[in-house]
Amino acid sequence: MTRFSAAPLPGRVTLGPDANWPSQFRTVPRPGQTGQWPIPRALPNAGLMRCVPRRPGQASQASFALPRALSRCVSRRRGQAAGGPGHFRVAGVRISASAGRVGTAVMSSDEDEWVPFSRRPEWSDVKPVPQDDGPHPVVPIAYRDDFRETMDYFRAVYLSGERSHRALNLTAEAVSMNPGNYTVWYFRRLVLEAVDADLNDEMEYVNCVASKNSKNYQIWHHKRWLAEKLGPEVAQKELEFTKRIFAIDAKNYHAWSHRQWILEALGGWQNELDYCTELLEDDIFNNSAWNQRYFVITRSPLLGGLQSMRESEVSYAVEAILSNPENESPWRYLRGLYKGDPNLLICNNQISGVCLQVLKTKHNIIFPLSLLLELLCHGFQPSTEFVSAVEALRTSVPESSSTSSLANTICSVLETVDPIRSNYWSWRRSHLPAEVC
Amino acid sequence: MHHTGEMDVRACYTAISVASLLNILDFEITKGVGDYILRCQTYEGGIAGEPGSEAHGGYTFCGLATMILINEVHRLDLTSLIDWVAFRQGLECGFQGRTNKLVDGCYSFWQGGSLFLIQRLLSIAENQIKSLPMSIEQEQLSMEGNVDSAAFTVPKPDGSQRQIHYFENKDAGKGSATGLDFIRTTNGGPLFHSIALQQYILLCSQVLEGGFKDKPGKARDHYHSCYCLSGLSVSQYSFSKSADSPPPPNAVLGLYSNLLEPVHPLYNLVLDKYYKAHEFFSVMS
Repeated sequence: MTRFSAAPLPGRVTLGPDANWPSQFRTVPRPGQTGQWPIPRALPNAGLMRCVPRRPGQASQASFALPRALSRCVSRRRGQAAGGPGHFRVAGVRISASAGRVGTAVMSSDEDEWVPFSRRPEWSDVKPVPQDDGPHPVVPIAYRDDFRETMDYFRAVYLSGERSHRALNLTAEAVSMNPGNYTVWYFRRLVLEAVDADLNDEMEYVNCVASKNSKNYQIWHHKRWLAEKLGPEVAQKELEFTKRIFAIDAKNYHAWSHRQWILEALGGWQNELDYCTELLEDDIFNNSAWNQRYFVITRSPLLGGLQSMRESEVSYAVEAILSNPENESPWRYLRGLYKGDPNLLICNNQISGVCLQVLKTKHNIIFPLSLLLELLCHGFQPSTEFVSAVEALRTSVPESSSTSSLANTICSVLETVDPIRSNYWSWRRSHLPAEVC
Repeated sequence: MHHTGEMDVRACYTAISVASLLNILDFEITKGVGDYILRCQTYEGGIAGEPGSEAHGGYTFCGLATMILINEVHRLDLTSLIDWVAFRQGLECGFQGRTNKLVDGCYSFWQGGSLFLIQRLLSIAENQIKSLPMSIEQEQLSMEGNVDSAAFTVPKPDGSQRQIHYFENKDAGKGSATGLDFIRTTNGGPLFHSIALQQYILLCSQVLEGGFKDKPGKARDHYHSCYCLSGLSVSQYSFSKSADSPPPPNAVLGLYSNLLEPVHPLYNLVLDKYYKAHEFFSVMS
């Protein structure tokens, strides 16, 4: 006997607010319900029913807060579904339908069973739509049955234009099986808008999915879409989220793009440069943090722009270079500070100075030589100190000509000391500006 | 990337390369694309996915190839781009995707392929170098409603424009480009260490049971198999002056039978397939 048999639903459910649904299938929390999403409404014997572990005071934690839970709650295991009395899921919360066993909904992986849609009463009115690969599919994929069926039902609601909570739940299931299906995400957004879902809860949900799939374009795009709708109030939360990602992977490209987008669209610049400094204290080689520095000094509305920040940033970069001359990031950063302003570049004594200083150590000479070459190409007039420093490196280089310019000599030295780039240095050497040949 | 989807340099490349192959490139579709990609070139010299993001090998290839296809590559700061890409080849002999990150076999194509493309554009880059420390001359784009993806323009001393075709224009039809005749490089060689890259691909990325992988310790997959092979091909052909001439023996690491089919570096299609497609779609203009 099924405890929660729904009344047969007339025809196809298309658009419709929450109210059309039997109460036990409403999943979007009512105003006043905080944090947890999704939560089934009170059911008979609800007292015995546990949704998901809920910790007081953690309102912001989604019911699927544990990534493991997420995969468990939309289980792909077929288990005993075929023979059993039937369980069904409401947004992943398992509800036992067998008599005497009231829903201990949960997240126990041993008991997870996936119920085919064809066995779910709430979907009985929907005719699944198979994938149409045409008469001669080029690369037919051997889909798993649960995947195929889920997508067949997705296609049905997608094509019929349904906007309902069951459609929303379906997208969650589909996305758990293939988070890269951008069409599902797109449709989910349509449904979210149509049912006027709580987007803060949605953000919690997607954060959960993101922590398991932190390199998925669709998820980050979904976050961006949500953040744009939610506005400046979520700026801090979003920045915090990216920080959590960086704690695991300090160079996650998507997270950095997202962080930049948040800053520009929703603000929060005040501590950004300090945050970069912090990251660089952890790892001075983190090029993403250097890139973010550049982003901040050029775009922050709280700072004066590149020109005004240049001097302090040059000092910062030089200090980084002196502590780790083999670190490419600050060398490139230095050059970057003068992008489009080569005349100022060659006039900055700190810059030519750090080249000389590192050259004199005779270690890690590739970057200073490369920068010096660039300075020369922009018209830098080297003192004899520079010439001697470079000459001192040339003893191992067979080819020697007193009539070679310093730039030419540098290229020769680099061809020897940086052999992986010998072709590049050789090309540079044959294409020096006329003035420095 | 799709209706209401995310926007980045990948989408520029995907759209433009397909439009180009299908011979439906026009002013409408290319409008603004060059401006966007320019905004994606970073202070490091490489190209990012979006303006402000970090310079990255995958996006660098996408951005560079797109600019070439829409005839705006001269607008990029090619000297800093070349410098950045060249420095992505490290001690392991393979390429890294970003500064101070780890080597990965797939960048054999994204980075190696970018330098392969640049080899064939060197006359523009040389113009830019020679014009240092003066400001880089802005070159006018000549668009007559139809973008000839097969050509780019460079200024002549007398101020007029010279069109250089990437491809031998056998038909001399408007917008059509059949055959392949890359611009000669001035010193005929690759801008990266081709043999070293081949070493990395064959010794570190190859999976003896078949396929290729990122690096030792990772599992093989189709993506890495594709891009390691493409990178290997590009490497082997980096000593060839034209796409049709077979590489000299010293260009191929190992047995000469290691030689792969050449790919079209803008589309990463085996040349034979490219010719077929090109022919098919040029009839339909």
